[in-house]
Amino acid sequence: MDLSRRGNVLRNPTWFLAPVILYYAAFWIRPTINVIIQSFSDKAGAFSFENFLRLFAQKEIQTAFINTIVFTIGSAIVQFVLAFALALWLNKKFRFANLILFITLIPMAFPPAAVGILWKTGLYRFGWINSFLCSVGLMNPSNPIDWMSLRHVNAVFLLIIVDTWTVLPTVMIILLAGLQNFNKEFEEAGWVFGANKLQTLRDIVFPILKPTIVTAMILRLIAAVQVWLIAVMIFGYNVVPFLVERIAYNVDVITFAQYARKDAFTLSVIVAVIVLISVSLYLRFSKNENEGGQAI
Amino acid sequence: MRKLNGGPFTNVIFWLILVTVAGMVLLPIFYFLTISFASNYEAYQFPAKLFPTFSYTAELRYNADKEDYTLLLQKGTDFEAVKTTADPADFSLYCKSQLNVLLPSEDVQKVFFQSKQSPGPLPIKLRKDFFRNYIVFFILAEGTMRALFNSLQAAGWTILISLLLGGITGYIIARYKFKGRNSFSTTLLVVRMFPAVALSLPLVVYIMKMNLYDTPLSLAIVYAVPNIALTAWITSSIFKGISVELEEAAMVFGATRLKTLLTITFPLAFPAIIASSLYSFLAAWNDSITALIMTNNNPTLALLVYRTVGSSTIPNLPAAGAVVLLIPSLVFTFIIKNYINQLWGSVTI
Repeated sequence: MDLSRRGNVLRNPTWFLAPVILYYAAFWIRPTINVIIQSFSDKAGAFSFENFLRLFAQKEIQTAFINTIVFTIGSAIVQFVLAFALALWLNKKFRFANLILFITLIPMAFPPAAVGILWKTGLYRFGWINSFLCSVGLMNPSNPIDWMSLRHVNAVFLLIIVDTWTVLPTVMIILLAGLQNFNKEFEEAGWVFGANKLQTLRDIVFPILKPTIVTAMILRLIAAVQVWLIAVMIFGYNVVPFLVERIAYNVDVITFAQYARKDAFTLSVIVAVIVLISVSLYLRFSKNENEGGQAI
Repeated sequence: MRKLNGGPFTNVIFWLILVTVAGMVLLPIFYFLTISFASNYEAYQFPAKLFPTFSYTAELRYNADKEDYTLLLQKGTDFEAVKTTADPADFSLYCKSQLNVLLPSEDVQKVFFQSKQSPGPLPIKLRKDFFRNYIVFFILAEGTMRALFNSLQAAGWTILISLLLGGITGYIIARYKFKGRNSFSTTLLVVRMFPAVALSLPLVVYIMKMNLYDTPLSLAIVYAVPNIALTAWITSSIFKGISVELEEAAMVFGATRLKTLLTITFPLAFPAIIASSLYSFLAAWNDSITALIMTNNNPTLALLVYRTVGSSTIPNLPAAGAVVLLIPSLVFTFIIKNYINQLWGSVTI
């Protein structure tokens, strides 16, 4: 494998990595260090926790934290259950399985801005959700609900549904790949020993698929803590605060407010830390997975 | 249907699930497409239609007492009066702005005349300018085409930077063992998942110093950060799959390393190179937070679509913008669908 020993013109090919390393030094490490310094310094530039303390004292930020946690956990549960059920079902390879797989994958391709509008066209008073509910007789046409007037936890739940619509295929495709990789004989062995379907699922399929499940969920976690666009497109700023929504608000709306930039910097450090913790969890699990002899 | 042939009951449940799943995906999309073709008038109709309409069945009534004309549109079995005027220009404007019907004043005058002659209300058919919303959003609205070009430029730069730097990195990782290769790969994975928002904010300062603020290239610089890593990851796994013997054979026959790369390795790795380019394209095309932070007067299409939603109460125009935003994403995602599993270290479907 090692061509470098063959005495080629390029004695040390790792020099070719220099441009990449320089690029990352300039456009990843330098800004990252900068943002950390910014978040830990006050207006005068001295080291302080002032930014964090000021942030945590704000009511919107507290709400943003709670909303982000509720959103992340809620969407993780809903998406896992639905994606797993869907993957188990599609894995049965029935007659239309491929067609259904194709259809379910479509929302995955939607850019977040398009998802935002698609649901906005549904959620306003004359939108398609109310239209559909009326046409199947679940709603009185003279008294449609204005979904966009939902607030607090209800609004977060609505966003979980919207988010699930678009990311379910991504979760499902990972789980489906895991299931297809799964050796059917394990399951059959369970049946031979008299386990019913539920027991096989719980005691055989779940444990073996655990690394895949964890991988899929951590990837979702990373994306879920960064939610903002659908929230702002459907409800507007300030209605359902999320961490990144607060950053966008600081940058987009109150650009010149006294602490807008500092707040944005500090929040982005918090988001980055949450993401990095998730990534390290991901690395740990994918390592275990490899050691466990699973497919790379 | 091995396990689902347990009688009519399970069959019903099976079809129920199938229809629900397909409906959950397709119904919103159909309604959404329809509203992107809906006129302002139709957007306020309730319940909304599942499929778009091409024309209105209408009646024009001459009111002899006031000497003006009333336009009535069919609504269910009834007709609804929507506009009453004596001025052809006013009538024409209403048709254009509210109904997406292009009817010049001269034609209106003719119809008015006919209506005056006819004993009862004159039945007419108003043909919709089907792509009116798209034309308004893209051609008549200022800045949309520029935003589209900005998006394409940003995507182009992203692909260029990612392929150049990421491709080299992928090749080196695949072909050479060097000290710290594993930690280098791990770093690439971390970069790939690093939140763009945490990069864009501090980078603005440097970008301004480089005189690149508010340009597509500045966006590409940020988009390229995760995409270089992703490209390196995708291409390295492909380069690993191309056997070294093949390269060595070419070199035995006297090809230089560069020639071997160009004639043997690259053609074999071409599908992976295309796939990673499409990924880079999608990352640039779909992004909005970086564009929000790093642009001012030169937004990308995704950002523009997002902004239009805020400014209009009826979502038919933004929907038209979103459909155009959606088309490349949809096509490219399905081209690279099979790579998606591999992306996170899993197997193909």
